[in-house]
Amino acid sequence: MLLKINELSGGYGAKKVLHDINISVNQGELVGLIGLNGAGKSTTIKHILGLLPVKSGEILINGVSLEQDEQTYRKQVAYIPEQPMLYEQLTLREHLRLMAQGYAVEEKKAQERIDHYATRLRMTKQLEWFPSVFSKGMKQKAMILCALVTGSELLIVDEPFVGLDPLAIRELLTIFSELKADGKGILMSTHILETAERHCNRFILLHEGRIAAEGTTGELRDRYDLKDGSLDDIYVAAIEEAER
Amino acid sequence: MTSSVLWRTRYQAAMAEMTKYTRYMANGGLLFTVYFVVLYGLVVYGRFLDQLDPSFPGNLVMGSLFIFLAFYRSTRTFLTEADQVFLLPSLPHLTGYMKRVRTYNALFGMIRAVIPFLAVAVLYVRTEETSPIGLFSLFVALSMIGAAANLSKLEGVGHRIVLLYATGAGVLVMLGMGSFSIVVTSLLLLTLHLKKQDQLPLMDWIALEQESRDRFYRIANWFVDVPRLSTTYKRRRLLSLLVEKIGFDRNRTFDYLYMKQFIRSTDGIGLIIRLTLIGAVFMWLGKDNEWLVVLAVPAFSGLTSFQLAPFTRAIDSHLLTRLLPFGDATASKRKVLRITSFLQVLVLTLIGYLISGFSTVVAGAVLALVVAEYYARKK
Repeated sequence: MLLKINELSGGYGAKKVLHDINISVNQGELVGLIGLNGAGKSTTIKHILGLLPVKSGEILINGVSLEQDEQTYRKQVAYIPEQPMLYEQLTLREHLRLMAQGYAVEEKKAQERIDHYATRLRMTKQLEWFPSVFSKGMKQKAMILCALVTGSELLIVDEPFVGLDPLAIRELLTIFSELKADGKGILMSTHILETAERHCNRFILLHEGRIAAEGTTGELRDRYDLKDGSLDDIYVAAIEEAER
Repeated sequence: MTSSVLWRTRYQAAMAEMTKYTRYMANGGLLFTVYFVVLYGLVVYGRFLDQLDPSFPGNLVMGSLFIFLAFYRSTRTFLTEADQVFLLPSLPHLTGYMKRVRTYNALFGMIRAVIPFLAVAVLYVRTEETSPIGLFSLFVALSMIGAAANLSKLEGVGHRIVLLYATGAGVLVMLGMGSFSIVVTSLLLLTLHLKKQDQLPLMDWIALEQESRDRFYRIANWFVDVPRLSTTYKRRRLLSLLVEKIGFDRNRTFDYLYMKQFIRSTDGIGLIIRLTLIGAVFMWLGKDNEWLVVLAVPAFSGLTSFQLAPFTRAIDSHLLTRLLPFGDATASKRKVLRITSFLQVLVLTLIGYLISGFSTVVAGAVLALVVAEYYARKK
């Protein structure tokens, strides 16, 4: 199992946001993390990334926790944030070199990945640009490229489609499919349920810091007795049930 | 919101913020170093004036001041980013606010001309034949340049126009026709008046305010942490190519990142160049005083090391840095500080030796390296 979260409780300071949640992501799996605003999706992601201290429970990537070996833990996970965060003083190419170098990717392999993914996301021209002149979509693509060049086992993706044009969304989904085929695992937080329904293997529905439901689309349909229901319908039903 | 209320609230808020940071800066020990340098500079300048040859080209210095003063501008508009949304409904009614902003900038620009004028005037009267009226007209012309430098961007006029007129006025002073300079500077103000904007150009004025704030914050940042300080970076292709030679090794990731930051930021290589140049001028002014030259090396190197402290802050506080498996940041930071300090000490020592011929400057270099090492270990 690539990512294993056991009985995780956490939050911001004294405020507990997550209550004993269990999440797993296997190799070759794209797991959708869905929920209302404030459900705890971003908090979960911040815990996985080690940005918030765990109150109780554990988070393991390939059996290693952050406390055991921070470098190994971090090398196995790459992150695509919702809000792009780039160094203002580096060009896109320099960001990609930095990421590859930091993740100990072989130089030749890094160059291949940079060329390959920059072409696919139509960012070749922007490789020598500074982020200050990027549009919102370009910044998002830059973050995606930074994550892809690392070749990490696990991708944590927070609202990746925000700001992307339709061609880029399609290309990104194709890349996700290829990564899955390569045995990588992806945990993706998103509100775009229609796309998630078509591409995610499983879903975890968070509500008020607890897992309200989880499973494949089929399993969730059975659970909520929605024979032909879409993920939208399941989502509404799950929220209604959780709030009852 | 009326113009007067908006002006009052914004002006008071800006002044309160400025006072706050000035107080922080005054608390820092570095301020005493600055006082000391300024006071000593005055003493050295006084000696220089006492020994001044009457054939010294004072008109050239005064003329250059016209051009020099035109280069610097600090235009305040007291607008913020959020105004592009919340001030939109009031936009047609802000003529009064625009007038107040113009008055403030014109006055501030004129006041800024006083000290440089006084400094050069004491030299000018020793070398040139001039009357009190002639001197006063020079001051008026110079203060007009100061005002115009601040006003040009407010009216959407390129700063090069101010530079052009200032050069014209400066050349007249250099040619001994200083009394005509006031005609040139009046024409400049007339040009700006004719170009006066009727509608408040919101986006441009917000950008001007941000630029001026950043300039102030950059100075304040030497003394105290300034949150959300936006910085401009220069590409510096040649130096950047050299940094690309750093090995593609995971353990050297921070070397790469810090070196890029160092060469591209104003508080990195820019700071070193500025302080080295000031140090060189300082040594030249006091070249006959052995102690001054010898101590200038550790003083300016120490000042640089102290002020270099924030250069990695933009990297260290970046969320991306916390997320990535980059290795040992402290060792890389020390490496950059040691290399740059060594190079600066070397340059200052060579300059000191060439200017004064005192071999004791080497002792100053050794002390400078000890100071630099102290700061490098402190990081």
